[in-house]
Amino acid sequence: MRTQSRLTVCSTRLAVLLIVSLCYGCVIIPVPVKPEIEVLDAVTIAEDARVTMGPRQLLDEVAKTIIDENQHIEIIDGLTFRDTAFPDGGWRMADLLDPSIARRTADALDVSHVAVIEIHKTNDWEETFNVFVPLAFGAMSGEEKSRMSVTIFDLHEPSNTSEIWVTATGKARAFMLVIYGIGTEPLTLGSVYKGIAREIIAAVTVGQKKDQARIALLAAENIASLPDLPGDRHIPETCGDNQLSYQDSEGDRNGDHRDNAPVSANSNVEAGDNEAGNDDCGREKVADRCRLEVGEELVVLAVESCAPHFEVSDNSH
Amino acid sequence: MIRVLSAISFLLAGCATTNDYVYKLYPGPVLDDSELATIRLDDGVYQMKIDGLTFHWADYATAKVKPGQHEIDFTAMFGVSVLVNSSGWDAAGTSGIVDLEAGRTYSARSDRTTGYGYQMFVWIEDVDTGEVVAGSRKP
Repeated sequence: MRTQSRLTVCSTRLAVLLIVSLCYGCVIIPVPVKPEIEVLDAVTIAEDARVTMGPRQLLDEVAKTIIDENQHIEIIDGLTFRDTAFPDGGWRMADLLDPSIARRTADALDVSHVAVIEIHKTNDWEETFNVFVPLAFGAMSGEEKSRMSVTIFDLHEPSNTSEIWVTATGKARAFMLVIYGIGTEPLTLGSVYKGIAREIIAAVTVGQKKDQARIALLAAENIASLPDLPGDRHIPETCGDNQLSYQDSEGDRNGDHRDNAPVSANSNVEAGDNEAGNDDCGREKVADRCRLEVGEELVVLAVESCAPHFEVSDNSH
Repeated sequence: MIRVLSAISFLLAGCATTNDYVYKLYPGPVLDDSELATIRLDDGVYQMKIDGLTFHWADYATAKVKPGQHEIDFTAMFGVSVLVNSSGWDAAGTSGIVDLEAGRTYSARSDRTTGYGYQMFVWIEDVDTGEVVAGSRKP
């Protein structure tokens, strides 16, 4: 009798739990977000950026979006492209600017362009307000941001290489009463995918019959980046060969510079496209452009550097 | 009771995801597994950097590299009590040069002790021999 009583109590509790979980309601309303597009007037390729197939799901999603927008574009296997362009490995993104590598790959695969996507932010969340009383009420709001850049290499005309940055920002809000809740979710990542896809389509179909093109899609990874952990951010330490220094809002230098702007990049040279001159580093000095994320802003620094500058030029013969 | 538990298990199974994709992290033509070292991520290890390139469990089930020395860097995430860590999670990682042999499969693993003063362990082991090639296994 005692055992039966215990079983009855246990079953009843389980049934109540099941009913409560089924009755619990939370409605999330997806909100489309318009992406912001920024086309750079110069290509900023990090020396240590590598072409990879690492973010496979991202590449699949962007490829699917491209094909949904334009069914005349054919996307070849990225791994085949990588192994054809770089038969000995290395996978340096800047080598795609080498006309001999570009043309050899284009001829071997009958491909006109390669788009290389670099991820900067995915669903980055910044909470602005939060109050929660369990089983009573709760409210929350915040901002979500996604940002990616794409460098589109014209394999027949390396001088046509272009770099485009796509950013999508949206507000998320949620309200909860007892066990029921409603909220909005900005679709920033999907928005960035669409922005990237449309810019790729626009770039590769210029001058093409029936908007047709055969392209490759890969990703880029800066191998000097720090591993990403929740709550962590990559703080750029250098721009070209120059060490960046940071200053906090109180004006004191410290080691914690997560949200601070760079004070300087040890140069006051104005931005200039490929200006060169001799300097004491023994190599040709050029004006580099480094694009950095500083807080919520994208800052373009033009600094003197002794590092090799990957000049986009037409070396056709 | 059994029917209810079965129904819950059936519903939860829909949340499970698997992928069979292989990350080819070497140049040239595809080689046989006997000529390559295979790496997979287990336990709470969700991401690893191999020679600076990211290998994420959601994108690939395994990565294949040529035998030899490789720079490996990975971190494992652990859920912990908010009484111990207010964020509700903690992380431990290891990095360094690892010598990987051809024909072997390596697994990145993690584990931890519990309670106050808990310790976290991350390591890479040979799946067949159990030999630890990087990090330290939980005692």
